[in-house]
Amino acid sequence: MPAAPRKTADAVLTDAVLTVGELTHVIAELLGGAFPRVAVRGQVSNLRRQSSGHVYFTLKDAEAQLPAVMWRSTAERLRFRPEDGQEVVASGKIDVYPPHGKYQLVCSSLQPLGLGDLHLRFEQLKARLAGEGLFDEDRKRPLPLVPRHVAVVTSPTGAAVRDFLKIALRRMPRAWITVVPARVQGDGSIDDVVAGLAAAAALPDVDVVVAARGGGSIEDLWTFNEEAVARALAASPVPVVSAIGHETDTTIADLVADLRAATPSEAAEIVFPDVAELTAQLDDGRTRLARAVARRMERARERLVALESSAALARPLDRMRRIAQDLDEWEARGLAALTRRVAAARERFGRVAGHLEAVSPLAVLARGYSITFRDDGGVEGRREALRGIDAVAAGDRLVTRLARGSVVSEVVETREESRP
Amino acid sequence: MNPGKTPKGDAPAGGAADAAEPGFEASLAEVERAIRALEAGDIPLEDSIDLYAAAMGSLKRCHAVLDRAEARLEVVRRTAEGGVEAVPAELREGDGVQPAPRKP
Repeated sequence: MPAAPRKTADAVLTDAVLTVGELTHVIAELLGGAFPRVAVRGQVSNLRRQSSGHVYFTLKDAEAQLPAVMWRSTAERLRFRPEDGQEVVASGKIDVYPPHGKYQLVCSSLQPLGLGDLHLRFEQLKARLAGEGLFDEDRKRPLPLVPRHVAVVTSPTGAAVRDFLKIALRRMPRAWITVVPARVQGDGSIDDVVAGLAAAAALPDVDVVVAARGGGSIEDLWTFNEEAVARALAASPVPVVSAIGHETDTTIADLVADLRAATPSEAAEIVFPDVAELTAQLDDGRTRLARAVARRMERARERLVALESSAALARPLDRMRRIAQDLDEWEARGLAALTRRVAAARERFGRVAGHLEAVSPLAVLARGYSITFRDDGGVEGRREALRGIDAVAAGDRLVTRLARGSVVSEVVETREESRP
Repeated sequence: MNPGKTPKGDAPAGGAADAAEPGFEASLAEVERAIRALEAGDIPLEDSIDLYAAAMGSLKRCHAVLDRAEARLEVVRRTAEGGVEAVPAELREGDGVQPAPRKP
């Protein structure tokens, strides 16, 4: 059936029965006309960002709720990121979306409400927790130099986890890392982070937990200023590193954590050692050890040599040498003396021998004298030499010993000698 | 070495802690002590050698700690029963850290 031409509002309101389209059209005109520009204060909820870039949310208060939409162009220009739970002032026009039978606020600008409130809440919570000692330095635990297992509570998508993992694996390629997914802003984020921290600390062998998220507005980071999150961090049985936002942002989580990193990347640098550097340090240690021991042994050897040549050790040697020298001298002297004595003795002997020589019968014989014995067959040595003629008679055989040889003769006659 | 904001130590883990063996940092400290002592040079020679042997043992332990792990990335997810479990994960371009597809 062909559509009927649009009726005017006036025409419609006088009709008895209207089509849905007709009525809706009138409503749209009425609402649009009445609220071409309106500013509404309420709490953001159910915020959805479509892939188109358009943002849909609901503004609500205790009594009512108002669907709202922000086209992409407007959303991109926003200077803050709206999130569920935020109090805002939304400005725009009311229009009707006939296919859904809904009216909505087409939001052309959005302002957070009560930034001052947030600061106040921050300061109040900070003071309270500080008073409980949750920020005390001596509560803060050191991290292990080489962690066994690191758990990171963070959004599984986004730059924070990517940066963290990139740096972590560059420094410690064999690291064991478990990502505990959590919403890090908006609805449900507080519960996610609290549950995530508990799950992280319960993982096997975990020795460091990291809570990380990227940069954002104070509202974006607000989850990490919430009391529940602060207490969950304080209660962690394992040291916690917070890496929330940028350098200039300080959340209560940062104050409670055992260690604070300016960014997720810096958290990875703090948590993971540079294994290559550590290995080089170990190798350097090995070299220094070997060198030190070698030097120690060299020193021992040097001392030994020094001792050997030092006076202390050499004195006994000197003594020994002196003694040896003395012995040599004595030996030399002794020999000389002995030689002299021998020579003297020999001289005496020589003189005596000379004497003996002189009185030796052999020497007498050599002078022409001879010895005569009676040859009666006896042993020559026992015979008496003839001295007188009374011992012989004519006819006796005689042996006469000459200087050389002997003569056997017979006595012819004897004669009396006259004394000279 | 690390731009840490607080001093590091061998913190016992929340999970199982190797109470029996000295950890990396304790072992490294032993090596450094041995080096300083040996370089100072007034230890008896036999003690020097014992110290050297002990320090080599500490070095070995340090290397063992660095070599022990295998690269391991996991992600926690809910189980059907409502609990949580850690499963092997991978870092993907668009999706971020996701459970790795199970190998056939």
